[in-house]
Amino acid sequence: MEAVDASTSAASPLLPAEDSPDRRDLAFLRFVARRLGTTVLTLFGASVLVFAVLNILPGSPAQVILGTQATPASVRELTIKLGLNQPLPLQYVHWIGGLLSLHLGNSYISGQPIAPELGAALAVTGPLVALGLLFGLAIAVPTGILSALRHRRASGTWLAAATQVGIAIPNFVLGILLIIVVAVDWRLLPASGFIPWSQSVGGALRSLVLPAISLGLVEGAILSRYVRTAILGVMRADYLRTARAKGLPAGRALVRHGVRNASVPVLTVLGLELSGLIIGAVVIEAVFTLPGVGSLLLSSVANRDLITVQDIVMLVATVVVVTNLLVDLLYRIVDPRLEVGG
Amino acid sequence: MTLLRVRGLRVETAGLPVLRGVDFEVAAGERVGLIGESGSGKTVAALTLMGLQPEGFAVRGSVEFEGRQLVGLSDREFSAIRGARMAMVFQEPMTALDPLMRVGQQITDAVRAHRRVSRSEARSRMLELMSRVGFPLPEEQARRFPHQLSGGQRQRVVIAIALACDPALILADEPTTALDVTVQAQVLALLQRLVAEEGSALLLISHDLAVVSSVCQRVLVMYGGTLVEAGSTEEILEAPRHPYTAALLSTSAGIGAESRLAAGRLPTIPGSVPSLGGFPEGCVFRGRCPREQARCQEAPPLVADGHRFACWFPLQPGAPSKLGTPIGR
Repeated sequence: MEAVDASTSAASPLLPAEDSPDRRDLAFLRFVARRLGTTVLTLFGASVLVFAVLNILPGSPAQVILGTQATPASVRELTIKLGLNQPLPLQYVHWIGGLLSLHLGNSYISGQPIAPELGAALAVTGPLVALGLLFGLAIAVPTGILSALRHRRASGTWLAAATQVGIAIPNFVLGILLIIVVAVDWRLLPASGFIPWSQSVGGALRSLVLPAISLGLVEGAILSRYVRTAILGVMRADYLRTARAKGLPAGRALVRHGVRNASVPVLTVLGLELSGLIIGAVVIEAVFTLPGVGSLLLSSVANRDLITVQDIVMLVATVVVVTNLLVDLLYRIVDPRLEVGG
Repeated sequence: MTLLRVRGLRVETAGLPVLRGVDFEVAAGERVGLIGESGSGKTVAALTLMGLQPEGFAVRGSVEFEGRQLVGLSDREFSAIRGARMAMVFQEPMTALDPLMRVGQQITDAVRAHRRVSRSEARSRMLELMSRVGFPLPEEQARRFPHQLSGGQRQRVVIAIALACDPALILADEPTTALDVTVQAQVLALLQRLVAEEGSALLLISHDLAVVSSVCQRVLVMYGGTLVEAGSTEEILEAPRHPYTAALLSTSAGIGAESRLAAGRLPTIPGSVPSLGGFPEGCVFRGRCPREQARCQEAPPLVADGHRFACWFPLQPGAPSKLGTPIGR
């Protein structure tokens, strides 16, 4: 609706349009509200899907917990104790109600509450993903800009080729290479394991450096291509020529107009890459034997600890969906052309 | 007083000539039109004057502006002239403005590019410029983004940017081509009024003879990267000497009331503009010209002062043109 207002008012010669700042703010709030609504719906759908898929799998958790030697009576007893005999919808409501009140339930295997264990794993994976993202950005932004500026020269072509190689290397291969060279040969950084934050912050960071590099390099190489394309787009844009015609030197014109304009496409890819980083973290944690969410997920799957798997998958889904929400909101702030009401 | 003196300006890309040695002058405060078909090199000429020719375009020859040689200046040296002494209005107002920046800010940037003024001084200059180009509520309209303005309004913003630092010369590259016909006339009138008020010279580039003749005192006709004819607007319109100018004239005159063509027939120039490497040796119009003879294999010089033309066999003043050939005949 706002889109129609804006265009008709713009067409009327030199008169102010109807979309005053106040109206725009209001429209933005409405957009946020609607977008939050769809986020909640998406998460609901995801939770139903996760729950359904994991409960369709054959095999009873009670049987797995008690082992093959267990009597049918003890299995039945445990099934009742775990609440697995209740109808599925009731089980779902029970699970989701727990999640909403931050009671993640108890592990089927250890009987211990899941929340502290997941919390400890998050203290590894969260910083790992964040460092990986930072490292990726630290690679992508300079190489992307440089290869765009030098796109007509050999150095730019080499840089673009190097990022292509970066994309082609699987992160676990890079991780193993880094372990062999940096950790084993040079003995600069630990090859595996994790020193908890409570013991030594420096030690924890040191154990995350190589995993974060393995994780971030590939994502950085992919992102670098997008940064390059975005900057090239700005360099060829008419408005950049206008800026130079005003008398801004080439570099200043690019900074003045390039940062915002190039950030629009880069932001999109960044949102998508975060999912890639989280998935990559599962593999990298295995390579570096880090006690993170990925390792917890793998062991829970192996143990048929369904409730833990459910919680972790739901957590990852939430992170991805919320990231998309944030990217969407950022878009609207950066690019005024996206009509907030439409 | 000569403001701009262009001598033997040659521009090449990948060994192909885009401009083949162009000579002309613009006096201070003069309004000069540069006309020609698409691909004749008009836009490249304007961009080269601004030092904004695309990457990989080699420039030779001489461009003297306010007594200063511009060919060979570094980007930084050129930046001190661009926008300050020589400014440009672009063809596409839709893309010439940064879509993510408020239009007021884009004008303010132009002011601050050359003037060491405070934020509030730059802002009041910006508001003054906006009202001068016809925004009745500059305070409010300065806060708009380009997509919230119409094409005509955007072109007014582009003109305000060009005027920001009182340039001595404004290059306007097809400033009205992308606009509605009614808006075209308004923008053209605005440009003409502002140039007169400022005492700036104007080089108006267009393919449209009507546009150029309504604004300019002198006309340069360009074809294939060379000037084929130059003279006062009256001379060019009333007594074209070069067959190409005559052909160009007949294509727009044919639409008038005195048209001798059958209804539904539009006059055209036979043939089409060759691609960059495809121009003939000698006279560039050879091959499309009905007056061609053996001598045309040699490039004709641009002769005489005042009304100049580059043709071995010019039309006699007053002779009717036989060049406009209707499509399908």
